[in-house]
Parts: sequence; C-alpha cells; structure tokens
Amino acid sequence: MNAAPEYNFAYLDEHTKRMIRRAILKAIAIPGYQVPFASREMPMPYGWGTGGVQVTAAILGRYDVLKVIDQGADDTTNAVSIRRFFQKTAGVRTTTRTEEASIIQTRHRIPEAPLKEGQVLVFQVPIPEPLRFLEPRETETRRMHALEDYGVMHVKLYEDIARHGQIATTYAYPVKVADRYVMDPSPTPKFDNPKMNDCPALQLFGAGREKRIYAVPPYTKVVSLDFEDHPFERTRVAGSCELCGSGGVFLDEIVTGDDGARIFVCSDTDHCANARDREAQ
Amino acid sequence: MNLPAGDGRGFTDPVHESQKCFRAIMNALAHPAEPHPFMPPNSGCGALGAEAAAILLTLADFDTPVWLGGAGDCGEVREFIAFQCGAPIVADRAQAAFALIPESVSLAALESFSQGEPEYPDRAVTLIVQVECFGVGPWRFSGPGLRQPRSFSFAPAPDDFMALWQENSARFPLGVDILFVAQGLIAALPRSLIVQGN
Repeated sequence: MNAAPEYNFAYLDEHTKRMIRRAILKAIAIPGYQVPFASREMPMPYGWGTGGVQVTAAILGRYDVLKVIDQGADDTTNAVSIRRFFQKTAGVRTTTRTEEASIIQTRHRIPEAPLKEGQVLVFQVPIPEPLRFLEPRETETRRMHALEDYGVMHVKLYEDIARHGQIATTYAYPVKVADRYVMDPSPTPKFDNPKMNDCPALQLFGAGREKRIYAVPPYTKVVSLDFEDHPFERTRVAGSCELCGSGGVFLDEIVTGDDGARIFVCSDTDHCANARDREAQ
Repeated sequence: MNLPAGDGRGFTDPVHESQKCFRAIMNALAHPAEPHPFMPPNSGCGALGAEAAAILLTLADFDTPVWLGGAGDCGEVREFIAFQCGAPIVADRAQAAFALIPESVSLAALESFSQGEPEYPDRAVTLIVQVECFGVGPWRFSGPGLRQPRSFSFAPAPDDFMALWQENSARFPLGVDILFVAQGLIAALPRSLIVQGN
C-alpha cells in the first residue's frame, strides 16, 4: 500500500503529528483563535502550503480521499505537487470531485459544490494575523485579540470607504468568528466568505512559516466585518463561464491569444467539468 | 526502526491506530455535546478505561504533563502512562495539559485547572472524564459546532454541573475543554458551548 516505506505514513513523525493534533483540538475549542505550533521544515518551500500540508498530514488516514485545489483548480502546479506528495508518502486515494473527498486542501478558494458534514477543508495560510499590516508587533496583536480590541480593523475598512467610496478589500477580507475573534480567512476571494458561515464541514487553517493553526467548527457563525451603511457585498460576478455557462460562480480571466483576446471561465475546475458533463448528456 | 513490542496494552499499530482515535476525538469536538462511537483497539488498566487510555496514547507525550484524579492516581496507571506515553505525572493540577477524572461524579472546581492565559487561551487543560452512560437532558447546549441547541447529559453527574459549566463558559476564551468517555463512546464539551436548563 505504502509506495515509499522509507517515509513514515504522511511524512511527519508521530511526535510532530501529536503536537499538531493537540493544536488542532484547541483551535476547534476556541474558534478563530490562532494556536501557535512548532511548524516543521517541509520538503517544499514556504509559500507552497507547508502549513496546510502539515495539518493535512496530521489528520490524514489510510481511508481518506484527498482533493487538493489551487485557486479552485485541481490541475495547477501547487495542487498537483501536493497531491503527489501525499500519494507518495501516504498512498491515499485522491480525487478531483468535491463530493467524493473527505479532506480538501485549498489555496484559497472554497469549492462551488456545497460541502457536507464530515468533510474537512484545510486552508493554506500565508499571513494568519488579520491585524498584522495594521500592527506589526506580535505582542500587541496578541493583546488586541485578548482584549477584543478590533477598532483598528474598522478604521482600516473606514479608510477604504473614505478613499475609494467602498470597502476595497477583495480578498483576505476579515471575518468575526462566533462573535469573538477576528480572523483572516486566508487570501480567499471575499466571494467565498459567505460560504464559511454555518458551513457543515470543519474548516482548518494552517500557516507553516508563521507557525499558527486555527479553525472554524461546523455550523459556526462567521460574519464579514462591515458597516450598517456600507454592508458587506459579495463580489459581483458579471456574466457566466464561457466553457460551461455557469452563472453565479467565481470566474477567472484567461488570455486566449496574442491579440489580447480573453475569456472568463470557472475558477472551480471540478464544478466546470461537472456542468459540461451534465450538458453533454 | 523497530519499536519495542510493548506489553500489549498500548497501540499495536501506533501510526494508524492513533490517527483513527484522533479523528474520533476531533469529530467529537467538532460535533460536540453528542456521543460518538469510539472503539479503541487498546486495553485499559486499573481505573483507566480503554477509551481514556486511548486518548492519552493518541495525544500525550513528554511535552504534556498529566494529572491523575481519584482512583486514577495509582501505581498501575502511573506505570502505564510512563511506559506507553512517556508523559510526566504532576501533582499540581494547575500544571497539567491533560487531567484524568476516572469518576465523573467527582467533577468539581474546574477553575483550579489551567485555564490558559488571555493572550494564549490554548494553554488550558483538556479534562478526560470517564462516565457510565450518556443521555438527553436536563441540559441544553448551544454554540459552535451545533446547528441547533442540543440536549445532552452524562451520568453520574455532580449536582452542580450546570453551574460549573456556566462559570466555565463565562470565562471564555479561557476555560477547560472536556472529553467524556463511556464504553465505546466519546463526547466533547469545548469551552465555547453555553448551557441552559431544559
């Protein structure tokens, strides 16, 4: 079963897995709070999802079915290499179909197909601290979280409105989890923020370089920060996918020729393929 | 590397058995206040049942001080934990990362365990509490992980458990998290849940 017996199952040693597992459990008990963990060097560079890979490795079992997406796509470099990594080190079954997967690792989209109870969504996170660009000192941001002092985040959103007439943040849009912690949902487009609210699946977030793990349990309130007179708006999606015709989904712009021709297609390749299959039948 | 064969009371296939147990624990915490099946492959020892032992085998090691309450504090259990987990046993309950409470009726003084710190609420204890059985009512829990409020109870329970838990959730984000185990079952109460009377 194990293609490479020289590795422990899923690459990490058992002591590391225990340490990550303890961090995951505390993360679930304190939704949205960033639990520090002793992140390991992984055989891939920072920025390639070392945090997400460690979380996946700690929860993965022999009978799991793994899906990995990179901006919604199953077939791009990051997704393919992480999928191969777990095929090699754990020998697990992989899939591109959202509904078949028990664990979905992502940077940074949430699949279009609704997630189910029992599924785990693992996010790769570059900067876990939503307040980091407003307050660079870790000691200070820790205290701000402890005191629930999030005024500075609202000032930032207000400055967006003052400068641009609207909240110009389009990804990594801050959310408040279970009425307590302000959390960075990872650089997922804000289009996906509403999917985090009351989601039946467990959402785990791993930041390898920054050594943090956090979680949103199933059926948890996740609210995008906004103002009464400037409510949160999901990114408007004009038009539909040129390949499958889906509307109301997140679209990627693809350049199709030297003359600057471009089309918009589904960012979620699994959703797009399914829609085209259904049409063909 | 060949691991020592052990005495047959721990995991025989530590990699996959601890993964399976961990997923059961994680699932119980993600879907709290609800008994879930938990069939660990190991055996228990003395006052330490197989289910509570499996949690320690899965999560405890030399980084996690363990506190033993009541009948759990005996030579047999100490030896089991020292041999199987390598975890230090501490006498001061405030130092413990995991605390074993072999009889749920003796659950008391939750604030005497480590509650975490305002900046680091994750540094709080996880209580492992052995119960005889689970049921519904007389308490209703709500919070993250629950789509709607859920009736949940365990027996034998201390008379003032509702007050204990109300105090615990009032300390959120500080507070203790509890893993309850009965034969073949596990249920969790993370500190994020709030309780009301039925």
